[in-house]
Amino acid sequence: MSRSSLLAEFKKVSSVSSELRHIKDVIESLLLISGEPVNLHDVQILLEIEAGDLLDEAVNQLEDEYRLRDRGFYLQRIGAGIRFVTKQENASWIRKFKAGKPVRFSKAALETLAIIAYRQPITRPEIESIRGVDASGVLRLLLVKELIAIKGRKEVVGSPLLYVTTDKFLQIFNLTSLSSLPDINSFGDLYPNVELPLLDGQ
Amino acid sequence: MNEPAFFPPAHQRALYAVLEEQFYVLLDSFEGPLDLLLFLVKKNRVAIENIPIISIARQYLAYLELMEEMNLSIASEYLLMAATLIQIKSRILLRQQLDDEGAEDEQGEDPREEIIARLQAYELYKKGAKYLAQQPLNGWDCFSPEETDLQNLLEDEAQIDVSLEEQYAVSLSDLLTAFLQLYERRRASQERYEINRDLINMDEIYNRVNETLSRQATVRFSELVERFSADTSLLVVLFLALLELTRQKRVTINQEAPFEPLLITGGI
Repeated sequence: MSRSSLLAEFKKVSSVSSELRHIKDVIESLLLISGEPVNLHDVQILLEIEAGDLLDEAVNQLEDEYRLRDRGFYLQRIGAGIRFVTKQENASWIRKFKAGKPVRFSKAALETLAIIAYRQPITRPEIESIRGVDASGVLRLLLVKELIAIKGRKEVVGSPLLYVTTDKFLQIFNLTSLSSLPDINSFGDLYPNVELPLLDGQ
Repeated sequence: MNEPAFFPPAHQRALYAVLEEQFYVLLDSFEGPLDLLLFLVKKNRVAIENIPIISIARQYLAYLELMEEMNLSIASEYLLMAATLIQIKSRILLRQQLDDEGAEDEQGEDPREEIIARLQAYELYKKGAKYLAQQPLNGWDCFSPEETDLQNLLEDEAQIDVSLEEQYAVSLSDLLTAFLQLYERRRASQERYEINRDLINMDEIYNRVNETLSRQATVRFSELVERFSADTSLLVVLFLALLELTRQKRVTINQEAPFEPLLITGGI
């Protein structure tokens, strides 16, 4: 290989790596300031680059780098986006720092969310037939909290509304995507028994 | 039956011994009849597909009785399930009797089939819920960057300034969510409004319309409206009064041609 062609090759490689460096830099900055997951499609439009290898490579590299660095936070993929998320073992310190109140989902909310997550889009009567109780109250609550949304109506008598889970649902429950939920039929083995709190009568 | 030493007031969450067995359960901790039924199945240590309906139904009803004794209101869903269980039980007993009589008629379908399917489906989603409950929650078990207050402030401001197209680009879901959020906020603020009792009497309006009609045989609708235009509620009552008078055929309303004034004539 002649000296000039070597130089050209070097320039090509270094321009690709500098572009990669640039993309990673911008994504990192966006991650730091964004209040919600950074949508990769948005990044692609913002930087006027083509979707594909370079962007994927940038995200993969960032993901690896943060994992290898083993710091207080890492990069997490959520839906079509990515975000920084703190290590779970630091949760108690952060909670203390933020002086947050404990949050808990009710059993009704969790059951309803699980049914919608697995069976969406689904109507209220369908949810009620699975749970055996009225679902209007809990559906309203989940709508207000933006964990579910309405997506059209089912083409049956009465055209009932169809409910789906939202991106916020994925974000809150730390789910990469809906398909990352375990197969519903696998639960037969995952958890041996549903135990209710049993208390002895002292 | 061993009674718990501690009896809390009936209106609080209470611990009670159920049936002859020594176990205690939070009375209002069930998510519905299927939840209760599933609990009884687990307690009896049987597989759902082998559910002993007759004994489970007995326990289920005993449980409802207990709730009744404690003056806890029993949701209609529980009663519907009780009826369903009794129906299945009677179909099983009927089939046993037919078998005992050596009836040839083979009844293939298990009367428990539907309830078994429902219990199995419910159990799966209950475990799905448990899976969700075990997920680390963002905002509690781990944290991500949040919008600063300044951003929220600017966002609120920006919302006022959106272009018309963006204003229309809302879905039904957006609207409903917005409405529910407003509704919740409103409810939370617990504002009180005083509603004044309406002082306008329909009869009074009748009389005033009749009085006008006694002076002039025909009156224009627009004239009447002008005369009553002092108060919106007065106008509403006038409108209602005219409708009622027309229904009673005490006045007639005519129009000479489309878009011509409406003429009101008294008597017929």
